[in-house]
Amino acid sequence: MNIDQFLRDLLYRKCSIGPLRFDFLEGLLAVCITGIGFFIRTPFETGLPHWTHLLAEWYLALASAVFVWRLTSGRRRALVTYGMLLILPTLVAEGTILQGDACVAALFFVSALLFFLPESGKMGTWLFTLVTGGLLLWSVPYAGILFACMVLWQREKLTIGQLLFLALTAGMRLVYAYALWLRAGYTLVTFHWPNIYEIVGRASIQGQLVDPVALTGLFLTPGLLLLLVWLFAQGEKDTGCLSKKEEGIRVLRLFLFFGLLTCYFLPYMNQSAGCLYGVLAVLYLVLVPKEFLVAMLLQIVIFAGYQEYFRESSMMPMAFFAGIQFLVICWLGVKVLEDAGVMMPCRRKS
Amino acid sequence: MDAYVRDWLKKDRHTEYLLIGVLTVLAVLVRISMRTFVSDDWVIFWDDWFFHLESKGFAALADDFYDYAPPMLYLLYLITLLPVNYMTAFKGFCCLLDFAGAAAVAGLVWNGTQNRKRAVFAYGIFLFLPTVILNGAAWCQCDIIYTLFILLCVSFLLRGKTWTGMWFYGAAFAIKLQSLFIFPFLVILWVRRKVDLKHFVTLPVMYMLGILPAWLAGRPFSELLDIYVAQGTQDAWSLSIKFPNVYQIIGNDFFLDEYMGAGMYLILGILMMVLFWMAYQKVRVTKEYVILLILFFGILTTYFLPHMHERYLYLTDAFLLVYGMIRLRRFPLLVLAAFNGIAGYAQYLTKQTPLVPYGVLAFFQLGILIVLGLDLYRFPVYEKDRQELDLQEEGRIPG
Repeated sequence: MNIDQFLRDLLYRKCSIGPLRFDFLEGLLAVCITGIGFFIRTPFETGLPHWTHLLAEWYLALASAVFVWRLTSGRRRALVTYGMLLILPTLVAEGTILQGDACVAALFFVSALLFFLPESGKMGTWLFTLVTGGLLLWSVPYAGILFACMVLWQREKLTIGQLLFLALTAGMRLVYAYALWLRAGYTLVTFHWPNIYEIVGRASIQGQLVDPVALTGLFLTPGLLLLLVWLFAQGEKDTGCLSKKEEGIRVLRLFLFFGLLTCYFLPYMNQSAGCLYGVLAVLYLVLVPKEFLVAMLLQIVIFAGYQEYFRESSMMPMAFFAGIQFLVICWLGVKVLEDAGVMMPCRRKS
Repeated sequence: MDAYVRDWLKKDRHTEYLLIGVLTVLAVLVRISMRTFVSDDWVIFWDDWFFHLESKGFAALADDFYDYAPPMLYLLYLITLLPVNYMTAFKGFCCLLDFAGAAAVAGLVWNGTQNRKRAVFAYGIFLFLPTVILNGAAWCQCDIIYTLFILLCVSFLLRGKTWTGMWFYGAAFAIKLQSLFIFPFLVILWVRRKVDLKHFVTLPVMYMLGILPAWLAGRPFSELLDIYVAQGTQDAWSLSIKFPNVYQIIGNDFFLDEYMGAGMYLILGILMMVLFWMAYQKVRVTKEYVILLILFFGILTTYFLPHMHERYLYLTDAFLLVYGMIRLRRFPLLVLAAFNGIAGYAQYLTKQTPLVPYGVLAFFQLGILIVLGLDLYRFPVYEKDRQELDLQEEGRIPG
């Protein structure tokens, strides 16, 4: 037999391990990209990469792949998700270089999303609530998830008890964190995170009892987000039955929009604030390839933050990246409003 | 008289011949007028290498003063045998190849479109691309050599002459490592049954043939095998040397060693994913598709690989011209790419930092990459009516 033909056929040959069926090429990619995912982290360590973060990042890629697979039943999409997340520079920066916890938080949230899938039932929704509540209690940048959950409650995906639990955890964290941060005497309002403060000026006001810029940002954020949640309630309810994939896309878009918007206005955010949303953006890219610019631009913005942290200065003005992020948020905002059926009545009235 | 000239011009192909003639003369004149320009590369590298070769003859090839592939040194050695100014001779040789390259580009456009006017246009544009003029005539660089071989490789591959095409690719590899930027397109052609594994033997064979005289001259074989590895670690002082790629956005002067390794693995991972997707893409391998593949891989790899030089866009500029002539609405990409490329050349030659930051140019380059990527992604849509035919032809239904 011709060796070329043999090898070409081998690429597409069906294989199976237990109930799992796949092409040889798919298996080959899975093995090779796992290897690349390991080796891409080795230049940053003197020995082997830190195993806990390595494991968290690998498991995050796996959980994300499962999430995509459950939504689409597409094996190749899931594999591409797995591969993309293993070599995602922002995850390498967070987990391997910085040894930060944001990649672990991302893992928790993606796991929570798995519980939130329709087939998980009521128990799944509670598990989602508990894990997300833990996340909200853990760190401030995830506060936006609460507002997305408010919209989900409007859509009857969550109960009032679950929402109150999430509000309580997020509230506790916000009050605790900002009580400390506002009195800490920070000289900056943002720490390498390209948000609104990179445009209006990131130096905090010194020598005063309060920093009005930071306080404005702090109160503007929940105010703005509550207004948006109220706006969502004005939309026309979608009576049509959505596919699981479409539902998943809408949920992802919602978390991305509210999460990014929160971090865009909250003061004292740092470079790790975008890690989770970078991961969600990759999931979004795999599910909605035609909106690849969202994920691509977001990766650039997030990595710019990490790079400024490592390098202590940015190659390009951070305000530029903040501008890009604003455009991404606006784009997502329009899409989310469309999803909520708000755009139709607005267009009719205008 | 007017009527006579008009009538003469209207005759079959007269205008085109006249245009080609005038363009060629102008292109020669611009190159001749630059012959006395002495670039830093000449002062630092070439002049020294010529001195070695002149003083020790062919035996100089045993020394390790050069880090280029030996075939380039054979060319320099041959020049030392001529009774001419070395710089003029070297520049003259590269400029001669500029014309051959222009002819090859025109040939590819003709092959892809069967349109004579477009081919003439491509010939003229290639000769007057600022990067092409400056690369050989001013900078004393020789990117035209491997580019020409790759242009010839693609010409022959598109005509179904696989062996000839692959020998040219092997020749390009024997001269410059940069020929590997587009290598993934050959993997796709292999998957699509356009080339076989046996054709890839041309790469090691041509490389071995290339280093053989230097080995006979006395340079250790292991050093000759490692010459490209040594090149890869040579410019470790910056992640991007005036090249508008991702490192100009995130920073090209920090984590030098770390990003060098990680950047290599990153592009390897990206290529794996892209090739995986392409292996399942339902597409007919047309001439346009092949050109697009080369272009896409050329720009993709250089966008993520560390230590890229501004000159490394030379090859993709040539193919962008071909692609722009085949698909005219993509012609503005060539203008943008030429603008991107010239900024680095201008800085090298004038020692002035361009007013437009490289980070902005890197976003332009990303824009080009995205447009080409989308063209590849949508290619099956354009070819929808031919998909069934393709699947029948290949005898396999992927996916």
